[in-house]
Amino acid sequence: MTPDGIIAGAKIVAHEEPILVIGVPREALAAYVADFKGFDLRAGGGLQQLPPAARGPQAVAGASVTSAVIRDAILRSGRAVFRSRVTALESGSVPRLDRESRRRSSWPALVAEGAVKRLLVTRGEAARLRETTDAEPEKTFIELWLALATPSAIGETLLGQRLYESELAKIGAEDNLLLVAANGLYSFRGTEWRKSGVFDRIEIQQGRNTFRLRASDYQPIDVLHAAGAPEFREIALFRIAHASGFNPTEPFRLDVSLARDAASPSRLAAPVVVSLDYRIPDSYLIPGSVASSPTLGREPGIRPSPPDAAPVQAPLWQDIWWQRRYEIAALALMLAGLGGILIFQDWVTARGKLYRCVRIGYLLLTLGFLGFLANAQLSVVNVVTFIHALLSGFRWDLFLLDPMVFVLWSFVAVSILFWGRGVFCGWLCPFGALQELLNEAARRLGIAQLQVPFGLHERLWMLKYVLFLGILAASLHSIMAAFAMAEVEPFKTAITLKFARDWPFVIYAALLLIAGLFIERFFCRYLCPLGAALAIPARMRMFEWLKRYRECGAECQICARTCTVQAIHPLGQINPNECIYCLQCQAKYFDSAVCLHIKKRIERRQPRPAIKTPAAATPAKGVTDGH
Amino acid sequence: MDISRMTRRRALTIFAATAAGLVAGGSRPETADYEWRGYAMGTDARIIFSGASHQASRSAAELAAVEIERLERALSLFRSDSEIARLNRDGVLPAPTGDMLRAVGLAVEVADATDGLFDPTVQALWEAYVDWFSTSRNQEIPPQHLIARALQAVDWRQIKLADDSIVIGKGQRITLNGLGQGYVTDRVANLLRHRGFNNVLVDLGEQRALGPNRDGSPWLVGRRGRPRIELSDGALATSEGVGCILGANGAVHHLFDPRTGRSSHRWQTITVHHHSAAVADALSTAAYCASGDEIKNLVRKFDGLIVWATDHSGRENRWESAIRPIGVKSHMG
Repeated sequence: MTPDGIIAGAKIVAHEEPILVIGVPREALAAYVADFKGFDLRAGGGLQQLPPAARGPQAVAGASVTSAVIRDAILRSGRAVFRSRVTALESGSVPRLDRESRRRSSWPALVAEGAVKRLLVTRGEAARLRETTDAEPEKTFIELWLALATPSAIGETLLGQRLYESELAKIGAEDNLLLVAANGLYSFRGTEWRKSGVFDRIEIQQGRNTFRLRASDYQPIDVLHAAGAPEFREIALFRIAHASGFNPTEPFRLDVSLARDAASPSRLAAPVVVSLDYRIPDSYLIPGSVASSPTLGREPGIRPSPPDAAPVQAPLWQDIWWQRRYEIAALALMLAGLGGILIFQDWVTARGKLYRCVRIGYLLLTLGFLGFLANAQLSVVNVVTFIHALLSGFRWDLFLLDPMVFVLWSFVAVSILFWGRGVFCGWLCPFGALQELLNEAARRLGIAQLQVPFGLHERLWMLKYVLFLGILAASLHSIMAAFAMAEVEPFKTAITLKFARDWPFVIYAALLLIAGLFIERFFCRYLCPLGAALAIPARMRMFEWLKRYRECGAECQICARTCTVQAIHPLGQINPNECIYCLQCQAKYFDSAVCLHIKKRIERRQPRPAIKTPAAATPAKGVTDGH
Repeated sequence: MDISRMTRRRALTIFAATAAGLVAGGSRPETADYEWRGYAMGTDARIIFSGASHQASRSAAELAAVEIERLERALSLFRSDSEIARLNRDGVLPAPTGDMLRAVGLAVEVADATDGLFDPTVQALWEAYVDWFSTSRNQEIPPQHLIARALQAVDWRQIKLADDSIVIGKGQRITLNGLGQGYVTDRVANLLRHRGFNNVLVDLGEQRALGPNRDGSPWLVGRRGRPRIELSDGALATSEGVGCILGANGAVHHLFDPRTGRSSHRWQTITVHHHSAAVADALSTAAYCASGDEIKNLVRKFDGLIVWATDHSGRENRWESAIRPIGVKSHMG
């Protein structure tokens, strides 16, 4: 970037966008990015100044979202750098408007701090000013609200994120947005502007300068998004160019000219103008530095900004959490539900029918909401990133950026400590849920299940540990190589991208799912590096709540044979490294129609008449725990 | 144009309840009367704050000074880059500010209402006189053909307030000196009222009272040789031929009758009271060229007017509208 805010050049150094890896030619992307050369960051909508032929691609075909993100990233970071390097230096000791901090506020808070100002003119007052009379002097002639919408806490709160960002994209790095809203009898817009292109009833006055508001800088707004904002008859957003001399840090006022009442010809009166004063609260200003030393800068054009002029950034993660608050709340409910199921697992599993409904329902929720809607599929990539963060200085901010993944991981961490890795694998993994649901369907359609001999099965387990260790080892050399290896997880293909991906990936994921029709959770059993990664710390788990009889494995292999992932040894014990905590064996444990042990005990008791308490005959009562 | 500034004398004096600035020095009382003196639209300006705090008066005075300068950028002929200067130079003013539009709009309205007794296009006439007296060292009245030629450019009906522009007729030039000061006075007064001031006198050539003095007593506006006027609301504007004299023999002054192109000599002094300083300003100019009957008609036609007209014998006539203004009282001499 040049010192006057022109992009001197742009090129891709590296990118890790999975969609762009495949399908979109690298040259198209490079050309798109290179085309930002010459873009004037100070001008609003900058590229408009060039002739259309020289504009180049507005987007990259087949990756419109990504190209919009790239455009946004270039312009936004360019403007931020321009402001911090150049504007900060130019303004010297003068405070400047904080355009970078991102915050959310509410209507009452904005009103309280004076970020939104109000002027009320009753019909009585208007009549007095216009030297007429009004039969209803108490009613509102015009109630006017004014706000400088440039800072995010004001603009984004009032306009909503989408509109705020799109309006911000239209203006230059130092231009401003002004919001005017009103209720009442009188319109501040009038009708003249449609014809003349300029608003004749309103004007901004600042010191010696008058700023006229033009139709070309005008955006009508339907409704304010701020929590607690009233409804308005008319809302207008105006763009005010920096070049006009407008200074958002200085006080200014909105003059509203009250048009003459044509019904009183016996009056000669001066035009009536009412004013609404505005001054941006100090909290939206960045104090100027005392003195900056230009000699510090070695490269021409890029001079260091004074340290205390650096904008105080409100954490981005807070904004993201607020935006996704409903999803987060839904996830919290879901996790609370799962916690309940686990804590009252005996009660749930003792009711076989209820357990099956809960199980299928929860898996559907995991697949539909967590997987497809919220894209909250945890991955071994998270584990690798986490380990690397621990090695290279841990920062909460980084992990807080994705609230769903953060909340999910927090829950998983606790559940690993309590019950082992199975809670995630069996309940919260969308791909796991997809496999299990498909297998359930396959079974109902009568597809025969393959039983892997336990000796072979046991040895195949090693594969996933090898894969995980391989990925971890690769990550120490190159994180990109590790991420490439992590493609052994079909999660991105199946869940995040919903199979909209290049065919080799689709075929791989489909093959795994087909294998899962014959061997339940085929991928989980042998290949999942995430499962392996979780199984290692899960050895620390605190509770052993899965119940077994002393006879299990000796007389009967029902649980072992029907275990979702064959985690039960032929000898009867459950291998917690492999167990996915689906609780199926627990349902059988309580089921007198299935469990051989219970059946035998009932048989033993039946010949004898029930003399003692009838309650003793109920299978669940008085049964000794397997441990 | 500097001639008028130099020769124009202040006809009126104002007796403020307490002389401002006397209380400065030593400990400062919480409230006092403060006076700001400055310069506006080519003439002396002052604002008196009655019973105000020093801090409030000071910030209000600063605000007023900045606002005056802003309005001068639109309306003042004394600035070569003002909107009115550009309009006179180019014959068209694109993208006028709201204040320029409203001031010119009001000038046209008053011209319509007075049937041209007030006419903002007399600037061409004024320039013809100034040229005549300054270039040829003439002491006599300019010849009729010069006046007739200048009069061709005098017709307010050629001013067009079109979409987002002001256009004037070919060869026309306009002045807002018969209304501009009043317009600025109104704007400054409204701004101060909006800031919560209720005991202020704004005097930029015309006097506009925002309420009486803090103790409730009216502002006393003295007139040369005439009884004082008590003013507690609205504005007073005074026109006097002797305010600005051209040539040595005093036969020509700045108040031209747009119908004849000659300086009017009907009255010695005209003082008008109206709620708005701009309207009072324009109507005092109009009344100066009007006959007694014409003034009577004007007062009959419009509400809220008082006109004091002193003829050359020193006799004062007073006419007022049926719905008379409040906040003004003239003392009997």
